[in-house]
Amino acid sequence: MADKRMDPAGIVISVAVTMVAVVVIMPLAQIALSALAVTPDRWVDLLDDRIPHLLRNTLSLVVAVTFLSLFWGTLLAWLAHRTDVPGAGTWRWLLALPLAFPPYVGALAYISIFGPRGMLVEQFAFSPPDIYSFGGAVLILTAFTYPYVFLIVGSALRRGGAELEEAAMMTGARPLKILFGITLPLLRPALLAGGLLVSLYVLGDFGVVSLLRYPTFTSAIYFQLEGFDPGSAAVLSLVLVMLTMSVLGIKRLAGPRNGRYSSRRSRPDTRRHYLGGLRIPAMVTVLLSAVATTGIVLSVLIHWTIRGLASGVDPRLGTYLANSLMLGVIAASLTMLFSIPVAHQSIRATSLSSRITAGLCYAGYSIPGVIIGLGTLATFIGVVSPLYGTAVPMIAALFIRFLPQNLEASGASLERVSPDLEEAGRVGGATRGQVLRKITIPLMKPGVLAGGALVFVSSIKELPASLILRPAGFDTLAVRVWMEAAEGFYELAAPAALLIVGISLVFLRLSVEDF
Amino acid sequence: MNYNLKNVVLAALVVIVALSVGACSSSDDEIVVYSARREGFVRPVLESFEKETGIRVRLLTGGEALVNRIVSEGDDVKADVFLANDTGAMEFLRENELLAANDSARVASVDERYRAPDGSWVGISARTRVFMYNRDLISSDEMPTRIEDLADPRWANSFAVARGGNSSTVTHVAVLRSVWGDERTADWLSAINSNSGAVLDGHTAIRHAVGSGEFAFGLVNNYYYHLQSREPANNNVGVIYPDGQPGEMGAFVNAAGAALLRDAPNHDAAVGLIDYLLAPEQVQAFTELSRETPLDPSIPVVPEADPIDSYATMEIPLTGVGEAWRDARDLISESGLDLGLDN
Repeated sequence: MADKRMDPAGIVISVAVTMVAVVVIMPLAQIALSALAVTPDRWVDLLDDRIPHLLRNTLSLVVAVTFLSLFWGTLLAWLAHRTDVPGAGTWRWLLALPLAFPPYVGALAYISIFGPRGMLVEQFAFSPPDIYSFGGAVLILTAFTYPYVFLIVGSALRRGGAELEEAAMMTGARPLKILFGITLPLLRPALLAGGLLVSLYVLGDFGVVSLLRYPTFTSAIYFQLEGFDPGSAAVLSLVLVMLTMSVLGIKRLAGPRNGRYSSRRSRPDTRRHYLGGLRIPAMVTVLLSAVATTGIVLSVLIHWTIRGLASGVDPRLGTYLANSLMLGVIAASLTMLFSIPVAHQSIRATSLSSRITAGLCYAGYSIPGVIIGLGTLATFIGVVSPLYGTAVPMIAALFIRFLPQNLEASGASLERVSPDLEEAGRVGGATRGQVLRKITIPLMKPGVLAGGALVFVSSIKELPASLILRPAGFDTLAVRVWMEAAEGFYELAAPAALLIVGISLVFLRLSVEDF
Repeated sequence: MNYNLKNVVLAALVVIVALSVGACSSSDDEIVVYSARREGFVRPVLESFEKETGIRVRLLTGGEALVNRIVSEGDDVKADVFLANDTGAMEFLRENELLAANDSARVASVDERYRAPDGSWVGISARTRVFMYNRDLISSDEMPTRIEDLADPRWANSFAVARGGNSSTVTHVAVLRSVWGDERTADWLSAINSNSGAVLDGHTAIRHAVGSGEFAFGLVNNYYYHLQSREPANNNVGVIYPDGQPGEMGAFVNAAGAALLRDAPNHDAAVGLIDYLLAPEQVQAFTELSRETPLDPSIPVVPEADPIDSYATMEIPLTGVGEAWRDARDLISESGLDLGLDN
C-alpha cells in the first residue's frame, strides 16, 4: 500500500473534514464559553429557580409526546401494514403526510381553530379546553411527530415477523402474549429509533412551544434574550445540551448499536390479520387520524389563504420564497459537497483521531436549533465579523444542523460500496484520488443526492436558527409564518405556510421511499 | 455526476460571495432599521419614507430580543435606527454607550421628559399606564384613583395585571422605584401579587378579560383601552388616568420611539428617518395604526383617546430608567410576582 501521508486525495479529505469539524464545533464552544463566564451567583439563581421548573416542563413534554407517538405510530403502522383495513395502501402514505408539515404550522392551524379567539369561539361560541397548555402541546407535537414512528415501525413490520406470530397463534398463544412476546420484541430496534427521533425533536422544538406559550428550555433560551440576559441564555443552553446528550446515552444503553432499520429490505411480508368486525372501527381510527392532522391543517391553511387573497397578495411573499429557496439550495449543495469526505473518513478511516474528527461533524444532529443559532451568532460577531450582516451565518447554521441528515444518506450508500472494489482499483494502479473519482463517489451519488433533497426541505422548514440569525430585510417563509402566527395574523401566515408544505410534499415524495 | 455536483456547489459558492459583497456594501441610499414594534405599524411609514427620499429601508422585526442583538453586535452594529416599544430598552442602550448623540432640531423640540438629553433616543408616541374598567361592573366614582391602591385589600381579586417580565411592567416598576424607593416598591409588588385576581400573560389578555367582565378592572397601557372600546362586543369599558390629583405623582407615560445607533453605517439618513418619524402627519398616521397617543399634544389623537395634555403625567424624565431596568427585574422577582420570563 502506498504511504497515505503522501497521498493528495487523503490530504484533501482530512483537511476538508477538519474544516467541517471546526465549523460545527465553534458555535458550541462559544455557548460553552459564555456559559462559563456567567458568575456563580447567577448559576445558583438559575439552578434554584428556573432550571428545575424548565426541567420538569421539558422532560414531561418529551416523555408524554414520545410515548404517545410510539403508541399511535405503532398502532397506525400495524393497521396499515398488517391488517385488512380498507384502503391499507393509501393509508400507508397518507398517514405519513404530517411529516411534510412543520409542527409550528400544525400549531398555527390548531390555535386558529381552538385558541381563545379561534374559529370555535368566534363562529360557534363554543369554548374548547385551553390549548395553551401542557395537553395542547402534547397533542400537537404528537400529531406531527408520530410519522417518524409510523415510517420506521412500518418498514420493520414489512420486513417480517408475521410468520412467527402465525406459528405462535397456531400453537395456541393468546393475542396479548403474542404482542408482548413476539411482535414488540421484534419491533424493539424500530421503536427505539423512532422514540429517539421523536424525543430529540421535542427537546429541540421551538416553534410549537413558543406559539403555545408552553415554557421549555428552547423558548426560555429565546425569550431570555428579551430580558437582555444572554449569559443566562447560555447557561440554559448548556443544560439543554447535556439533557440531549443524556437522551442519546439512554438510547445507547437500551439499544443495539447502529442498527439499520430501513435500508435493507428482504421480500416484503404481505400476510394480513383479518380484523373481521373490527374493520370498521379500525378504518374510523385511521380516518380520524388523517383528518385530525393532514385534513385539518390543509383546510385551515387553504381557508386562511383564500381569505388573505381576498385582500390582496402580500407583495413580499415572492421575496420570502426566493430567500427560502436560495438558502435551501445553498445549504443542500454544501452538505452534498462535504458529506462525501466526512462520510468517507468516518466509515473508512482507521485511526481513532480521524474517526473522532469525522464524528464531531455529526454534532449538529442532536443540538437544538436555538442553540445552533445563538452559537453561530456569537461566532460570526466575535470571530468572522466581515460576514456578519449577510445571509452567510444562516447558511452556516443550516449546514451545521442538517449536515448529519446528508451524512446518514451518503454514509448508507458508501457502506454498500465494498472496500474490495476500491482496493481492486488501487491494485490496478489508480491513485487514491482516481479511485475516489471513478469508483467511490459515483457509487455514493444516490445517497448524496437523496441527502441533499432532505437537507433542502429541512432548510426551508427551519425556524429557530433562521429567526435568530436573519439579517435585516432577509426574512424566510418559516420566519414569516411564525411571526404572523404569533401575532394572530393567520391570513398572512397561511400563504407562506402553504408554500412550505407544498415544497416539502414534493421533495419528500422524491426522497422518502415509503411515500 | 462529478461535474454536476461540482457545478452546483460552485454556483452556490458564487452566490454566497455575491451575497456577502452585496450585503456589505451599505451605500448612502440604504438604511437598516431594527424594530421591536409590530411590523404592520411600522411598514407604512417606512414605505412612505422610501418613496419620498429614495432611500431603501431594510427592516428587521424582532421584538425586544433585538436589544440583546445590538449589545452583542457591539462595535460592529449593522443597524442605523432602532425602533422601540419602550423607553427602558432605548435608555438601556444609551447607558451601554451604543447610541449616538443626535442634535437634530426636530428631536430637540420634543418635551425633554421624552427624549435623551443628547437626543440619541426620542419618544414618538405615548403608552400611558392606566386602569381600564368594565362599566357594567363598576362606576368611575367607585374606581381606585392611585396606582398605590392596587395594594389595598379592598380590591382583592377584582383586577388583573401583566406578568412581571412584561417590558411595560418592568419599566413601570423601574420608574416607581425612583419615586418610592426600593422598600416601598417591593411591598407594593408583593401586595399586588396576592391582591390581583390574575397575573396574565400580556395586556391583550387583560383587555379581553376586563371587557368580558371576568375582572372589574386591569392595569394596562392606554392603547389597550382604545382597542377594547373599538371591539364589536364587550366594549363597555372606561379609563382612569391614575394619580391625577394635585400633589399626586401623575400617570406614568412610557414612550415608544426611535434611537440612533452609535456606529450607524448611514448616520445622515438615520437622522433623516428619525426626523421623518417625528413629523406631525407621520405621527398621526402611525398612531392611527397603533392606537397610541402622540406625545406632542398638538397632533390630533384617535377618537377614543384622551390627548396627553388632558391628564396629569409624571414629571420625572425617563433618562436613568435603563439603569433601573435590570434591578427592577430582580426586585419584581424577589417580590414574588411571576416574571413569566419563559413565556
